[in-house]
Amino acid sequence: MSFGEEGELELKSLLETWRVPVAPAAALRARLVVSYRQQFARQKEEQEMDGFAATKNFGAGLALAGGAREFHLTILEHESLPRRLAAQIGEVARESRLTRDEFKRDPIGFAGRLVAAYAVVARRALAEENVGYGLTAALAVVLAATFAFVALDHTRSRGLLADGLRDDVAFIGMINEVPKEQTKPDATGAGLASAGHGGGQKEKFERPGGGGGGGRLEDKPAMNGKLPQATLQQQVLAPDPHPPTIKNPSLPTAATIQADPVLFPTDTRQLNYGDPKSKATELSSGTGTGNGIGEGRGGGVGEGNGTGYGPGEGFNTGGDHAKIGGGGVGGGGGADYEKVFNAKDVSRRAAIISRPEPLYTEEARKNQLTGTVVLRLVLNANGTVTNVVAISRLPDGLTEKAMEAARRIQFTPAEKDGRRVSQYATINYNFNIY
Amino acid sequence: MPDENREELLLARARRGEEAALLSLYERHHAQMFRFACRLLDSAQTAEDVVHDCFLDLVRAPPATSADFDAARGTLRNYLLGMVRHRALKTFRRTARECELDEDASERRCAPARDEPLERLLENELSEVVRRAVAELPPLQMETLVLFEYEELSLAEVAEVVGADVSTVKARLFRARRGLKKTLAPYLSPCGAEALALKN
Repeated sequence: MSFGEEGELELKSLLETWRVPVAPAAALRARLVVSYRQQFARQKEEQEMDGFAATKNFGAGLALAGGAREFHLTILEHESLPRRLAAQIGEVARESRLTRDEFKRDPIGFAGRLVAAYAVVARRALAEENVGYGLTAALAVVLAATFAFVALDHTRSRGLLADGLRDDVAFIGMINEVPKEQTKPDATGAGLASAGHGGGQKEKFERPGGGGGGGRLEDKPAMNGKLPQATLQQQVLAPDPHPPTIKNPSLPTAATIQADPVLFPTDTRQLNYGDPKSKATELSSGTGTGNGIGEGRGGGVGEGNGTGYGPGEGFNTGGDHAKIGGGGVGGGGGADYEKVFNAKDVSRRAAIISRPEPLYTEEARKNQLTGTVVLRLVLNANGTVTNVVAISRLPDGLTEKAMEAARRIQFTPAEKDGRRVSQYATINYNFNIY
Repeated sequence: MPDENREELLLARARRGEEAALLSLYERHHAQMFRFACRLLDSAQTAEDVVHDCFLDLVRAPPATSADFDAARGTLRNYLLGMVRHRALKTFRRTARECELDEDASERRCAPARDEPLERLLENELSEVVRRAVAELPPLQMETLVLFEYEELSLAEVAEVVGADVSTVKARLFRARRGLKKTLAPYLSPCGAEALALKN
């Protein structure tokens, strides 16, 4: 398409169809007049303030009387308190009346102008003769006083020690390393209950290892009974569920297992020796070999090989090769608090505070999908939700929605022996369309 | 020029606080300023604010900078249009034309009513189409076009208001027209002629 002269004309006439409303002349004029008066009053005000600043020194306490260059420390003696108060309040009222509309119209600009005006006043005040010197001197005095005070305090506290005013107190040195709180070992679950996780006599947590087993090639499984005294000494006499046959032995010797005594509290029950985990009640030392009790080999108790207790090799308990564990001084065992516990193993379960409901997805709504998503997750000691795994899923993104909601769960972490631990939890999310 | 002198005097008086002088200036220029602002900003309400603020700025005791009005460099009208332009561009950037969503504003934009409903409808439609086409132009082209076509300023005057060379203004004007012809092609082509015919 080409546009010649005609095209231009056509465009012009087309452009003319765009009309704009007529200016609301009267209303705008009225508004302008009001603003103009306010602005003018403000301007006068500012001019006055500038003049005021020229004759008044910075700070309320410093005033110059009647423009004379005579310095007065305060204005207290010129006016009585109620008068000064009234004057100040009147000033504030007048100012707010003048500035209210302006402030409403343009708060940011207003604040800017206000700051600028005060900056002018401050600058002028600072430019006044001797004000700069005065301020510097005042600052220097305050700083000097502060330093003097600090220095005095310092020398005095040193002097006290140096003079030996306290004979019974001697300065040895500053304490720099505050010992951390000793991790409290777990009093439960030693050796017997949860072999493998318990600690032992070493100071730091360390898994014990080892085990033992035995038996006397009997047909029946080892009978239930108590464990003999645990000791790390070489085993002299293997435990035997059968009552001792030697009458009046010349040197009575107690049967032992070779294991960390820390993990095995002395069992004072009047019982025959046996495997505490066995369900058999008939007198037998088990199918194993080596004079111990159980199915293993050696003088120990259980299914392992050696003189300790439980599965494993050598001595001690805990499975695997013999090793002495550690859980803290004086403790029975010590649990690994870093691991994630099952709900039944903690002393106080995690309490869910808020459980956000998952939203339906659009597809699921369309497909009229209902059902349950089961999630297994970890409620961490630090209050977060991690390791969210779906055990039973639903299609159309509902599983993801449930997982997303699960991550937003708020809870009080589980506790075990007074400390926060992580706990597994299983959560069901029901999706229903009502 | 006595008129110019008088405007300068009026301005000086207005700055001293004479309301009559301000009103005299207002009566002379507000209509054009409002039209210009209205077209630039697409909203009567904002245009009103802009005009109001421009006059206040004008009479505020100015800082002694080169930005103040100087009769030797141009007319007060052009100076005021420049102020409107400046403020409008600022508002334009800030609001990014959110006022277009304002139903009230679009009602106020409507062209003056005519007696025939059909004519009125067509006219409104056409007016709306043109408004949109102009609004879609880049701001610099748009203001040039509005000043030249609607406010009927000369090229030199437009250049003064927008603070650019005459050749730049010409180029902007050319591009603006070309853009408009493209967007308004259906209304300019023979098949769209009946719209125009109806209007006339």
